[in-house]
Amino acid sequence: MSEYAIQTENIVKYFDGRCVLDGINLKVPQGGIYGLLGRNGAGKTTIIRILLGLEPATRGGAVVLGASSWQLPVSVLGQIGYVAEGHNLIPNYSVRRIAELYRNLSANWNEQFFRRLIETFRLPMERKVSQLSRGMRAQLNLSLAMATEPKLLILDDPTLGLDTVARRQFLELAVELISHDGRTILFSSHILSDVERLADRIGILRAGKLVVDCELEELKKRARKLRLIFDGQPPMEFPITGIIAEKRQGREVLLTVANWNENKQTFLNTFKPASCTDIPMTLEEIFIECTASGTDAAVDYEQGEPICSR
Amino acid sequence: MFTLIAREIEDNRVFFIAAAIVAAIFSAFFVYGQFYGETYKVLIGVGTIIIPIPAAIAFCAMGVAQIYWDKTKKISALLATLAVTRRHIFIARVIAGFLLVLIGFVPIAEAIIMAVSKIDMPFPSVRGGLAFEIMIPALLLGFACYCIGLQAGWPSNKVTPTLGSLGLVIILIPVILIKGFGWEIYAILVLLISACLIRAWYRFSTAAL
Amino acid sequence: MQIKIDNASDRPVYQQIIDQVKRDIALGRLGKDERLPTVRQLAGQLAINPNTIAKAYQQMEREGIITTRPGSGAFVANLDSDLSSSVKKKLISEDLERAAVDAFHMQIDSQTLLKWFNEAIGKFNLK
Repeated sequence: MSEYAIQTENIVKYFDGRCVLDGINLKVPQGGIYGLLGRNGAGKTTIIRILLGLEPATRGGAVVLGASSWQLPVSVLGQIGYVAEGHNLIPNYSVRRIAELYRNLSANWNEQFFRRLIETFRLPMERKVSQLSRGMRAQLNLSLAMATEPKLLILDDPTLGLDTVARRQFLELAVELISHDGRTILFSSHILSDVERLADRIGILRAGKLVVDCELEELKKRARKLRLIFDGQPPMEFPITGIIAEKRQGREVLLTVANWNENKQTFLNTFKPASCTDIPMTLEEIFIECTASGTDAAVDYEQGEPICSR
Repeated sequence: MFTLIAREIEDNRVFFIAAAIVAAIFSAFFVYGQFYGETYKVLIGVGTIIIPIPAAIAFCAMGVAQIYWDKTKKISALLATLAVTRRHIFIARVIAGFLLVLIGFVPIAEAIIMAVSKIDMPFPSVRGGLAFEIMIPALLLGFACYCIGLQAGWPSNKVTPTLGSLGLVIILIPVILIKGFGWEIYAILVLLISACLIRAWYRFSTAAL
Repeated sequence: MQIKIDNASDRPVYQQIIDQVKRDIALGRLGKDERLPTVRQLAGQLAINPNTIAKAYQQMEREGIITTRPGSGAFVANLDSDLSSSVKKKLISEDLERAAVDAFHMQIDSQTLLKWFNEAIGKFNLK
């Protein structure tokens, strides 16, 4: 068995002549939680749909739980739980009917667990899916996906529409799920604090490329924000690779650098700054720096390689 | 598999209920028609020609409806992420369509049998005791209409070829009645059905859901 | 056991957990042989990835701060007083060093700093 639950091979996807994914090589290790980040329209949903065999890739493919993603066999499909973007399920079906469908078409349906979740979320069984509020639809989707006892849980923006309490419930559920050995979660989200709590690894999609593919802690070590204060005029430029962003104000320069290492520190010291302070960044800050438009010119990820990919 | 088929039937129950009702009414006429006079037999004769046309359209419509609702409500998109493959979904869909034809063709076949056995119509090639020989082509005809609908339901499909194929099938009906149920008819129908199913499967298996 | 995670800190989360457990032990909030929550329990309580908790527990076991007994869970190790005082020293030293660095940046001389420190000691009646 591979150590990876998901492995993509140079996925390229064009929609109407527009390149949405430009050579994605994503690796999700077994037993971990992978947070996939990216701005709206970056291609997160497209990648997820390709992984599930819902969307054909223009070029390249993926291996999910050992099987080719375009033709996932029943044995593998039965081990994957999925929450789709929008949480629409089948709009005119009642909750009961959808549950029945899932129950009959799943490999490992856990009725007790499902009932517990329905009760926790207080979901009405007789109501139509389209008549549920967005938050309730999200909760229904999660309940259905988790009750199938999946080895691999793929969630596309699972907390969209959830209120604070419900979001916390989701986090706790995810934690409970992952506590079982060998289970893997891949989820995309815009709520970076949630991703920060849960994820072992982070991937950031930008302009069709995976610019970050890294362990969360490693990412925080390698993406650094430095506050350099110079006695006189700061140097015009800093010839080190991987500068993501640069802000100047008087004698002060704020540098955000990718793939930070000792060499760069040494090199920076040769410019003799009066002080060099490390400003710790949250995941949200790292994300914003990595994906803000207008940094195109400055973006020079190490020789085009994503941060931290092995 | 059973769940999938049951789901297809429940979602398209309008068709099934209508077919069952029509079949029941016609079968009732068929049984009691033995005791009625000549006028009735003429009516049956006329019905033989007219009834198949709406039936053909109805079967076709079922195929179209299945595909259309699937696209609109993203049903197979959901099903494909459960423990079923696209193949299962497609087969269940076709089986449901076939079941509809099975229910719905009964009145047509009955009408044809009645006409053939009771009325003096110039059908020289039709022999006696050919209930079986009438049933099979009628079934095939109905199924062919359904299959045309199945591959026609895709949004990228053009309307003209669909109407053309449907027209062809409808024309086949009197041709059969006049020329008889020869092997050429079987061959045409089987080819048509195969082509439609292959095309529909190709579309379904390569599409983004 | 009350643990507070600061995602904005430059200290990795697992390290924060270790720090706080050590602090609790040093301050007497966690006694010898006292049982810690399981990885799963703590992960659920904090709503963070269990792997992070597991990492913290593994490291603490390596450092001899806790022991795990299969089937029973994790317990505070029988720390001798030396180890405990070295932990205490480390915790206080970190605070002191931070103050020293700030003072340096603000260009406050060591005499003034010591004076202020003695004032703080006086305020809290340290013996």
